[in-house]
Amino acid sequence: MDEVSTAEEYNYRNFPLDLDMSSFQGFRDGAPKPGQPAPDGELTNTATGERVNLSDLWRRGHLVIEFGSIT
Amino acid sequence: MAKEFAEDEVQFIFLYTREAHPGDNKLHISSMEQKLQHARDFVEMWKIDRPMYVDDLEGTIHHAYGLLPNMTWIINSAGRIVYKADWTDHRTIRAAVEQLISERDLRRAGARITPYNIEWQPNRENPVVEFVAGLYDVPGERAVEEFIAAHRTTNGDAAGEMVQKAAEEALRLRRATPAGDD
Repeated sequence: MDEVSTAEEYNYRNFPLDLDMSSFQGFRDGAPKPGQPAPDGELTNTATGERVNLSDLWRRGHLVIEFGSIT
Repeated sequence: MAKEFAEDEVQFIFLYTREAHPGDNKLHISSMEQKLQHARDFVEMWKIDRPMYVDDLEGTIHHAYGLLPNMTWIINSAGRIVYKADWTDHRTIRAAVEQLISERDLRRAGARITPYNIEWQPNRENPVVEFVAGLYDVPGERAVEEFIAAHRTTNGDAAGEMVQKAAEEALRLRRATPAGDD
């Protein structure tokens, strides 16, 4: 996992100059690999406000998660 | 694709993270209310049918999955990672989901199945002029300037120049087709 950052660092105001940010390495080496257990965590459904754990979702069936943002 | 595979009990969700290219017209996230709003705006903009979720303001889940802006991950119903991609590409997602379904069918038929590993480096379309045009349209000019600066710093002057030229082309196309006329 990447170093834990503060909310201000995570939600940066300016696009980082270094495109090879630790995050690429984090994806490759820090985050789990296929075959390993998936990290769990709490999510909020933006339409209903319902809070669920990722594990609640994957127990219902295979789960495809797309990450993204407006910009 | 989500509808197509719903009967196979494969769930597709979207996780809004943070603004990757904040600009004066689309600011960085500074509160949970704003994060929820941006996620809802995204649903509206792209007509997303899938359930939309957010994690917390610190991006705890985003960190755990490697922090990249346009990833797709697939987790099986036993909670194991079966697919991770540093770019969202519907073609390889489809292949992975169809694979999961065929494994289920084999299991149901009583076959003995065991995991194997695969590494794959497909290519994706990367239309830089269209991408930069989107930055002009949504977050605004500052996001374009910061994107060019990042390419120059990380990948050298030629890369910076390539993005600069794409930005000029995006502006030229924009002048030819003023916003709202297309």
